[in-house]
Amino acid sequence: MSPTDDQTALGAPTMTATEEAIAEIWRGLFGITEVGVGDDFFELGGNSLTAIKFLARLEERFGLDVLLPETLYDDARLSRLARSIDEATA
Amino acid sequence: MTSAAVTPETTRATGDRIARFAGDAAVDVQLLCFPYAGGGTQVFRAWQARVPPGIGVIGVRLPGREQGFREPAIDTWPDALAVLVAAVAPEAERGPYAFFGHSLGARLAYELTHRLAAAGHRPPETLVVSACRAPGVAPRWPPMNSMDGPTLTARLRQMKGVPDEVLTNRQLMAMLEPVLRADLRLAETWAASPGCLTAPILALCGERDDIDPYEDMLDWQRHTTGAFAIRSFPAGHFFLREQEEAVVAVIGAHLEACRTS
Repeated sequence: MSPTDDQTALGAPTMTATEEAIAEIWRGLFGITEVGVGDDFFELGGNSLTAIKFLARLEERFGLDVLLPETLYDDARLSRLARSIDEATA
Repeated sequence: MTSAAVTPETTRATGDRIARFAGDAAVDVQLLCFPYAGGGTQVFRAWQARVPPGIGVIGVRLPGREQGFREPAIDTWPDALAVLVAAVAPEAERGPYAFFGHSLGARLAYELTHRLAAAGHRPPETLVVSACRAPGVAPRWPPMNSMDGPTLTARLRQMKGVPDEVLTNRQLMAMLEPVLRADLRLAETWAASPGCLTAPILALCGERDDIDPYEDMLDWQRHTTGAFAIRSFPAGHFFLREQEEAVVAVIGAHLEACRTS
Protein backbone atom coordinates (compact mmCIF):
# COMPACT_ATOMS: atom_id res chain seq x y z
CA MET A 1 0.00 0.00 0.00
CA SER A 2 1.44 3.39 -0.92
CA PRO A 3 1.42 6.28 1.57
CA THR A 4 -1.22 8.00 -0.54
CA ASP A 5 -3.54 5.01 -0.40
CA ASP A 6 -2.95 4.78 3.32
CA GLN A 7 -3.87 8.40 3.90
CA THR A 8 -6.88 8.19 1.63
CA ALA A 9 -8.07 5.14 3.53
CA LEU A 10 -7.72 7.09 6.78
CA GLY A 11 -9.39 10.12 5.28
CA ALA A 12 -6.24 12.25 5.67
CA PRO A 13 -5.59 15.03 3.17
CA THR A 14 -2.76 14.70 0.67
CA MET A 15 0.48 16.45 1.54
CA THR A 16 1.17 20.12 0.93
CA ALA A 17 4.29 21.04 -1.03
CA THR A 18 6.14 21.85 2.21
CA GLU A 19 5.10 18.58 3.82
CA GLU A 20 6.20 16.66 0.75
CA ALA A 21 9.57 18.45 0.82
CA ILE A 22 10.11 17.41 4.45
CA ALA A 23 8.97 13.87 3.70
CA GLU A 24 11.47 13.66 0.86
CA ILE A 25 14.33 14.78 3.13
CA TRP A 26 13.29 12.30 5.82
CA ARG A 27 13.09 9.43 3.36
CA GLY A 28 16.70 10.12 2.42
CA LEU A 29 17.91 10.75 5.99
CA PHE A 30 16.33 7.68 7.53
CA GLY A 31 16.40 5.38 4.50
CA ILE A 32 12.68 4.69 4.60
CA THR A 33 10.02 4.74 1.92
CA GLU A 34 6.89 5.70 3.84
CA VAL A 35 6.58 8.99 5.67
CA GLY A 36 3.25 10.42 6.87
CA VAL A 37 2.26 13.86 8.14
CA GLY A 38 1.82 12.46 11.66
CA ASP A 39 5.35 11.06 11.78
CA ASP A 40 7.75 12.53 14.31
CA PHE A 41 11.40 13.28 13.52
CA PHE A 42 12.61 11.71 16.77
CA GLU A 43 10.28 8.72 16.48
CA LEU A 44 11.92 7.94 13.17
CA GLY A 45 15.30 7.88 14.92
CA GLY A 46 16.40 11.51 14.64
CA ASN A 47 19.17 12.80 16.90
CA SER A 48 21.32 15.92 17.12
CA LEU A 49 23.41 14.87 14.13
CA THR A 50 20.48 14.06 11.86
CA ALA A 51 18.83 17.28 13.10
CA ILE A 52 21.76 19.27 11.70
CA LYS A 53 21.52 17.50 8.35
CA PHE A 54 17.76 18.02 8.25
CA LEU A 55 18.02 21.73 9.13
CA ALA A 56 20.79 22.20 6.55
CA ARG A 57 18.65 20.67 3.81
CA LEU A 58 15.69 22.83 4.80
CA GLU A 59 17.96 25.86 4.60
CA GLU A 60 19.06 24.92 1.05
CA ARG A 61 15.45 24.52 0.03
CA PHE A 62 13.64 27.29 1.94
CA GLY A 63 16.31 29.74 3.14
CA LEU A 64 18.22 30.61 6.29
CA ASP A 65 16.71 30.00 9.75
CA VAL A 66 13.45 28.78 8.31
CA LEU A 67 13.28 26.29 11.16
CA LEU A 68 15.14 26.77 14.44
CA PRO A 69 16.45 23.81 16.47
CA GLU A 70 14.13 24.88 19.31
CA THR A 71 11.10 24.53 17.07
CA LEU A 72 12.19 21.08 15.96
CA TYR A 73 12.72 19.91 19.54
CA ASP A 74 9.43 21.46 20.67
CA ASP A 75 7.24 19.38 18.40
CA ALA A 76 8.83 17.29 15.69
CA ARG A 77 5.71 16.07 13.88
CA LEU A 78 5.96 16.57 10.15
CA SER A 79 2.70 18.52 9.84
CA ARG A 80 3.73 20.87 12.65
CA LEU A 81 7.15 21.51 11.16
CA ALA A 82 5.62 22.22 7.75
CA ARG A 83 3.31 24.77 9.36
CA SER A 84 6.26 26.50 11.06
CA ILE A 85 8.13 26.68 7.76
CA ASP A 86 5.07 28.01 5.95
CA GLU A 87 4.67 30.69 8.62
CA ALA A 88 8.36 31.63 8.43
CA THR A 89 8.32 31.90 4.63
CA ALA A 90 4.90 33.56 4.31
CA MET B 1 8.30 2.07 9.67
CA THR B 2 5.04 4.00 9.83
CA SER B 3 3.25 6.07 12.41
CA ALA B 4 0.26 3.73 12.35
CA ALA B 5 1.10 1.76 15.50
CA VAL B 6 1.64 4.71 17.80
CA THR B 7 -0.32 7.93 17.83
CA PRO B 8 1.55 11.24 17.85
CA GLU B 9 0.08 12.06 21.26
CA THR B 10 1.70 9.07 22.94
CA THR B 11 5.02 9.62 21.21
CA ARG B 12 5.41 13.29 22.03
CA ALA B 13 7.97 13.32 24.73
CA THR B 14 7.92 16.71 26.41
CA GLY B 15 7.77 16.27 30.14
CA ASP B 16 7.90 12.51 29.80
CA ARG B 17 10.69 10.62 31.52
CA ILE B 18 10.09 7.31 29.75
CA ALA B 19 10.50 6.45 26.06
CA ARG B 20 9.18 2.98 25.17
CA PHE B 21 10.59 1.31 22.10
CA ALA B 22 8.84 -2.08 22.13
CA GLY B 23 5.63 -0.83 20.49
CA ASP B 24 2.92 -3.48 20.64
CA ALA B 25 5.28 -6.41 21.19
CA ALA B 26 4.73 -8.58 24.29
CA VAL B 27 7.24 -7.73 27.03
CA ASP B 28 8.39 -10.13 29.79
CA VAL B 29 11.37 -8.11 30.98
CA GLN B 30 11.79 -4.36 30.70
CA LEU B 31 15.30 -3.08 30.07
CA LEU B 32 15.47 0.48 31.40
CA CYS B 33 18.37 2.36 29.85
CA PHE B 34 20.05 5.52 31.13
CA PRO B 35 22.18 7.54 28.68
CA TYR B 36 25.60 9.15 29.13
CA ALA B 37 26.07 12.88 29.72
CA GLY B 38 24.82 14.78 26.68
CA GLY B 39 23.22 11.64 25.27
CA GLY B 40 19.54 10.97 24.91
CA THR B 41 17.13 8.05 24.92
CA GLN B 42 17.48 7.97 21.12
CA VAL B 43 20.74 6.07 21.63
CA PHE B 44 18.66 3.06 22.69
CA ARG B 45 15.95 3.14 20.04
CA ALA B 46 17.81 0.80 17.69
CA TRP B 47 18.48 -1.66 20.52
CA GLN B 48 14.90 -2.93 20.45
CA ALA B 49 15.46 -4.70 17.13
CA ARG B 50 18.63 -6.35 18.51
CA VAL B 51 17.40 -7.77 21.84
CA PRO B 52 15.81 -11.24 22.18
CA PRO B 53 11.99 -11.41 21.97
CA GLY B 54 10.25 -10.58 25.24
CA ILE B 55 12.65 -7.80 26.23
CA GLY B 56 11.21 -4.30 26.04
CA VAL B 57 13.76 -1.51 25.71
CA ILE B 58 12.94 1.72 27.53
CA GLY B 59 14.97 4.92 27.52
CA VAL B 60 14.84 7.07 30.66
CA ARG B 61 15.54 10.78 30.49
CA LEU B 62 15.92 13.50 33.10
CA PRO B 63 13.93 16.74 32.92
CA GLY B 64 15.40 19.29 30.52
CA ARG B 65 16.89 16.71 28.17
CA GLU B 66 15.97 16.13 24.52
CA GLN B 67 12.47 17.29 23.68
CA GLY B 68 12.03 18.47 27.26
CA PHE B 69 14.72 21.12 26.73
CA ARG B 70 12.37 23.90 27.86
CA GLU B 71 12.07 22.35 31.33
CA PRO B 72 14.75 23.27 33.90
CA ALA B 73 17.66 20.84 33.47
CA ILE B 74 18.03 19.17 36.86
CA ASP B 75 21.66 19.07 37.96
CA THR B 76 21.66 17.93 41.60
CA TRP B 77 21.53 14.36 42.82
CA PRO B 78 18.61 14.72 45.29
CA ASP B 79 16.44 16.29 42.57
CA ALA B 80 17.50 13.82 39.89
CA LEU B 81 16.86 10.79 42.10
CA ALA B 82 13.49 12.10 43.30
CA VAL B 83 12.35 12.47 39.70
CA LEU B 84 13.73 9.11 38.63
CA VAL B 85 12.27 7.19 41.59
CA ALA B 86 8.84 8.62 40.77
CA ALA B 87 9.21 7.70 37.09
CA VAL B 88 10.76 4.26 37.49
CA ALA B 89 9.01 2.83 40.60
CA PRO B 90 5.78 2.12 38.64
CA GLU B 91 7.84 0.32 35.98
CA ALA B 92 9.52 -1.78 38.71
CA GLU B 93 6.07 -2.83 39.94
CA ARG B 94 5.00 -4.06 36.49
CA GLY B 95 7.24 -7.11 36.63
CA PRO B 96 10.82 -8.20 36.02
CA TYR B 97 13.13 -5.46 34.81
CA ALA B 98 16.81 -4.69 34.41
CA PHE B 99 18.88 -1.51 34.38
CA PHE B 100 21.51 -0.46 31.88
CA GLY B 101 23.45 2.76 32.28
CA HIS B 102 26.45 4.17 30.45
CA SER B 103 28.83 6.49 32.33
CA LEU B 104 26.52 9.08 33.98
CA GLY B 105 23.69 6.64 33.24
CA ALA B 106 25.42 3.89 35.21
CA ARG B 107 25.70 6.19 38.23
CA LEU B 108 22.02 7.07 37.97
CA ALA B 109 21.06 3.40 37.65
CA TYR B 110 23.22 2.39 40.64
CA GLU B 111 21.85 5.11 42.91
CA LEU B 112 18.32 4.39 41.75
CA THR B 113 18.76 0.70 42.58
CA HIS B 114 19.69 1.67 46.14
CA ARG B 115 16.71 4.06 46.44
CA LEU B 116 14.23 1.53 45.09
CA ALA B 117 15.53 -1.13 47.48
CA ALA B 118 15.25 1.27 50.42
CA ALA B 119 11.63 1.98 49.44
CA GLY B 120 10.85 -1.75 49.31
CA HIS B 121 10.43 -2.06 45.54
CA ARG B 122 11.25 -5.13 43.51
CA PRO B 123 14.99 -5.07 42.66
CA PRO B 124 16.21 -5.27 39.06
CA GLU B 125 17.06 -8.72 37.70
CA THR B 126 20.45 -7.28 36.94
CA LEU B 127 22.31 -3.97 36.89
CA VAL B 128 24.50 -3.36 33.85
CA VAL B 129 27.08 -0.65 34.52
CA SER B 130 28.90 0.51 31.44
CA ALA B 131 31.92 2.84 31.10
CA CYS B 132 31.76 3.89 34.74
CA ARG B 133 34.40 3.62 37.44
CA ALA B 134 33.35 1.79 40.59
CA PRO B 135 32.08 3.73 43.63
CA GLY B 136 34.96 5.32 45.50
CA VAL B 137 37.45 5.20 42.62
CA ALA B 138 38.94 8.64 41.94
CA PRO B 139 38.33 10.24 38.53
CA ARG B 140 41.31 10.35 36.17
CA TRP B 141 40.40 13.65 34.49
CA PRO B 142 39.58 17.14 35.81
CA PRO B 143 35.89 18.08 35.94
CA MET B 144 34.41 19.42 32.70
CA ASN B 145 31.19 21.03 33.91
CA SER B 146 32.89 24.30 34.89
CA MET B 147 35.26 24.55 31.89
CA ASP B 148 34.88 27.64 29.74
CA GLY B 149 33.25 27.15 26.33
CA PRO B 150 36.34 26.68 24.13
CA THR B 151 38.05 24.38 26.66
CA LEU B 152 34.92 22.27 26.97
CA THR B 153 34.56 22.04 23.21
CA ALA B 154 38.20 21.00 22.83
CA ARG B 155 37.81 18.29 25.46
CA LEU B 156 34.57 17.02 23.90
CA ARG B 157 36.31 16.82 20.53
CA GLN B 158 39.15 14.87 22.13
CA MET B 159 36.67 12.46 23.77
CA LYS B 160 34.90 11.83 20.45
CA GLY B 161 31.55 11.77 22.23
CA VAL B 162 29.92 14.58 20.26
CA PRO B 163 30.13 14.63 16.45
CA ASP B 164 32.15 17.52 14.99
CA GLU B 165 29.15 18.68 12.99
CA VAL B 166 27.26 19.20 16.25
CA LEU B 167 30.18 20.88 18.04
CA THR B 168 30.58 23.43 15.24
CA ASN B 169 26.87 24.21 14.92
CA ARG B 170 26.36 27.36 16.98
CA GLN B 171 22.57 27.25 17.07
CA LEU B 172 22.36 23.65 18.15
CA MET B 173 25.22 23.94 20.66
CA ALA B 174 23.57 27.00 22.21
CA MET B 175 20.60 24.76 22.93
CA LEU B 176 22.52 21.61 23.92
CA GLU B 177 25.40 23.04 25.98
CA PRO B 178 23.42 23.97 29.13
CA VAL B 179 21.94 20.47 29.17
CA LEU B 180 25.32 18.87 28.63
CA ARG B 181 26.78 20.93 31.49
CA ALA B 182 23.92 19.86 33.77
CA ASP B 183 24.65 16.22 32.90
CA LEU B 184 28.37 16.70 33.50
CA ARG B 185 27.70 18.41 36.82
CA LEU B 186 25.70 15.36 37.92
CA ALA B 187 28.32 12.91 36.66
CA GLU B 188 31.14 14.85 38.34
CA THR B 189 29.45 15.43 41.71
CA TRP B 190 28.51 11.78 42.19
CA ALA B 191 29.06 10.75 45.80
CA ALA B 192 28.37 7.03 45.56
CA SER B 193 26.08 5.41 48.08
CA PRO B 194 27.96 2.85 50.13
CA GLY B 195 26.86 -0.72 50.50
CA CYS B 196 25.94 -3.77 48.52
CA LEU B 197 23.06 -4.42 46.18
CA THR B 198 21.35 -7.80 45.86
CA ALA B 199 21.04 -7.47 42.09
CA PRO B 200 23.82 -9.12 40.05
CA ILE B 201 26.14 -6.62 38.38
CA LEU B 202 27.47 -6.88 34.86
CA ALA B 203 30.22 -4.36 34.13
CA LEU B 204 31.05 -3.40 30.54
CA CYS B 205 34.12 -1.46 29.53
CA GLY B 206 36.07 -0.24 26.53
CA GLU B 207 39.58 -1.65 26.09
CA ARG B 208 40.85 1.77 25.04
CA ASP B 209 38.76 3.81 27.50
CA ASP B 210 41.11 6.21 29.32
CA ILE B 211 38.25 7.79 31.31
CA ASP B 212 36.80 4.70 32.98
CA PRO B 213 39.27 1.89 32.22
CA TYR B 214 38.90 -1.78 33.10
CA GLU B 215 40.94 -1.59 36.31
CA ASP B 216 38.74 1.23 37.63
CA MET B 217 35.64 -0.91 37.08
CA LEU B 218 36.76 -4.12 38.82
CA ASP B 219 35.65 -2.87 42.24
CA TRP B 220 32.01 -3.01 41.12
CA GLN B 221 32.23 -6.62 42.32
CA ARG B 222 32.29 -5.33 45.89
CA HIS B 223 28.88 -3.73 45.44
CA THR B 224 26.73 -6.77 44.94
CA THR B 225 25.92 -9.84 47.01
CA GLY B 226 24.89 -11.47 43.72
CA ALA B 227 26.90 -12.53 40.72
CA PHE B 228 29.48 -10.27 39.09
CA ALA B 229 30.90 -10.35 35.59
CA ILE B 230 32.94 -7.92 33.53
CA ARG B 231 33.29 -7.78 29.74
CA SER B 232 35.34 -5.50 27.56
CA PHE B 233 34.98 -4.33 23.98
CA PRO B 234 37.66 -3.19 21.53
CA ALA B 235 36.87 0.54 21.58
CA GLY B 236 37.08 3.67 23.73
CA HIS B 237 34.70 5.33 26.20
CA PHE B 238 31.81 5.37 23.73
CA PHE B 239 32.10 1.68 22.86
CA LEU B 240 28.34 1.26 23.13
CA ARG B 241 28.01 3.17 19.85
CA GLU B 242 31.05 1.77 18.06
CA GLN B 243 30.32 -1.79 19.22
CA GLU B 244 26.54 -1.56 19.47
CA GLU B 245 25.79 -4.96 18.01
CA ALA B 246 28.26 -6.77 20.31
CA VAL B 247 27.21 -4.78 23.39
CA VAL B 248 23.51 -5.45 22.91
CA ALA B 249 24.22 -9.13 22.19
CA VAL B 250 26.08 -9.44 25.52
CA ILE B 251 23.28 -7.69 27.41
CA GLY B 252 20.61 -9.79 25.68
CA ALA B 253 22.40 -13.06 26.48
CA HIS B 254 22.97 -11.91 30.06
CA LEU B 255 19.27 -11.12 30.53
CA GLU B 256 18.28 -14.49 29.07
CA ALA B 257 20.65 -16.19 31.54
CA CYS B 258 19.17 -14.18 34.45
CA ARG B 259 15.68 -15.17 33.39
CA THR B 260 16.39 -18.89 33.25
CA SER B 261 18.53 -19.09 36.39
